[in-house]
Amino acid sequence: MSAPGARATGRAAAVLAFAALFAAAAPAMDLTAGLMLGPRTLRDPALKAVYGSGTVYCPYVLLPVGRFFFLGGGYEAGFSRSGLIGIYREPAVLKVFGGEMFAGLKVRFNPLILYGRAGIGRFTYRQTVESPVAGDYPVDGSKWALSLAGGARVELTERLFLSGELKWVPLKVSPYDIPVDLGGMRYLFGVGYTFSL
Amino acid sequence: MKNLPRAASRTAAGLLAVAAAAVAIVSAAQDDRRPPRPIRPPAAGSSSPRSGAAGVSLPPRPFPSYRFLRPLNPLTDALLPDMPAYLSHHGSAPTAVAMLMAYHSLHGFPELMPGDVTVQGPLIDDIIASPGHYLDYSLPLDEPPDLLPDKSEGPPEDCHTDDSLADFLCTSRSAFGNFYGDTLSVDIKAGIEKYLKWVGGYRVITTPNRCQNVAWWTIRNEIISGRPMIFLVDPEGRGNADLYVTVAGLRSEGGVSFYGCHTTRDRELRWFELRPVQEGREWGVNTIYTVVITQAVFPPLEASIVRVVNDYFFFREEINRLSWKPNPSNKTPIVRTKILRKPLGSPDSAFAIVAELDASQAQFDDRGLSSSDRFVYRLTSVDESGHESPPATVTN
Repeated sequence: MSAPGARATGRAAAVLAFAALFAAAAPAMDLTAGLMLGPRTLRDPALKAVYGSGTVYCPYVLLPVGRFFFLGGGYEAGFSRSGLIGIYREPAVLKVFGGEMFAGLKVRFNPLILYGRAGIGRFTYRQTVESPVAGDYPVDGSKWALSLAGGARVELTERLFLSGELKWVPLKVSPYDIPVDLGGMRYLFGVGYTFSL
Repeated sequence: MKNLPRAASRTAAGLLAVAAAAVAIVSAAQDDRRPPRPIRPPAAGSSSPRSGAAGVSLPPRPFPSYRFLRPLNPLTDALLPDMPAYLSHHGSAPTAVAMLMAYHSLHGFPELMPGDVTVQGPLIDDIIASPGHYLDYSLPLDEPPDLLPDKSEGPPEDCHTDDSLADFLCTSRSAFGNFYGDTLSVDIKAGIEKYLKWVGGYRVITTPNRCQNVAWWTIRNEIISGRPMIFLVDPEGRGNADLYVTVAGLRSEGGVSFYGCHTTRDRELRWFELRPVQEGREWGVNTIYTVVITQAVFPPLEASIVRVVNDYFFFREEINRLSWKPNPSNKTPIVRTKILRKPLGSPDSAFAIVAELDASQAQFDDRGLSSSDRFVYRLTSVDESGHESPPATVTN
């Protein structure tokens, strides 16, 4: 089997595994939803010099699996940065967004819950430049990437909580044979609510 | 009714008489308007019949005399009044060309001739035919039919460096079949161009045309544009033109066109009928040389090229950055810099314009190149009249 075929099969298997875990957890009938937002950095210093750090917002849902585990999915958007690029200082915009699925481990120290999670996400990146030559080199692609995060949750009530999280996505792309590191840290804070269905 | 035909015939006769009288009056008036024919000088015996010969050995002949009935009409006639007049100095061709150059040096092209061009002094004579020219090519003095060899038939290193109009026009060179003072008509264009190149800073377009192919208004247009011409004429009417004159005027009277010229035989402006050369027709015109002199346009200086990389993070743009300096030798305002390019190794026909920039710019980025692109660039200056310089070339 070719390498792209193997990757597609791997992705399909991961999606199926998540679906199976969700199905297994369904009898618990607890669903946590939340929204986090915060600054997002760029690891590459040259990119950072042009575009700086941005802000992302991440809606997510979690499904507890047993006492210590959970599954979830989320979306990350909002990173859209403008800058002046190249020797002609041409206006440019960089956008990165994507969705992810993850699994995690949580430990309760009332009223604090510490957790860590890992997942994969499909991230889309897009750079537009107001340049006569940029049309020959469109930058608009997507790539799977790991997503690693750790954080803490403070329960304000039985269902309402505040959360803080550090997330790292090592996203490296190379649409034209030049590797570009779009990875970076997310410093997220937010609020969530646990529904009993 | 019977008398009617007789009365009619009398009336007709009277009308005829009136008409005849009117015709006679009109005819007389036309005779008055018609320019008098030239006073024909008696035919002379000795002169060179060869086409293109200078005719300096001609014996003095009286010029035909025309009595013009009216002054120059600015609507139809034209005259350059301040044309310097020179006497032939070792050839009519270099002398006629020297007068033309002298006129232009008085009107915007001062470096064309040295010194005071209004007077034919030693400096002017040296520009017409230098002492070196006289020693190398005029001597031994010869005239038809005996062509005597001069230094032009020996090795070039034995001759002086060309330094006068007669040198550039190949006047008197026996190697070209020229007798003393002769200049071949085919050498006029190249000779004028060589002289301008020797002087430097100017460019010239010399166009020879047969007289019968040149319209009257073309000649008038040249003169009112301030451009005297060189005519190759046949003073003796042998059917062979052998004298170069500098034409400074054109006029019409009684339906006849006249050209005004300095003949190199005296310093007067002489008028002759403008008509093609023909046996028995004195001062007929064989060839008309229009001469357009303009300031030379020089290409940009210190043209250079630098490869620059423009980083867009996800891709890189390669750029050929061309830079240059304006050429201070240009005396006419430069309005544009034209940039052409061709792929390295391709024929010159592949050159194509990539940019035309305002003259105030001294840098151009040829963008959007790949790392393997290699080009040859040509940069030219274009002045306000649209004249383009030779190119300055730079290569990756």
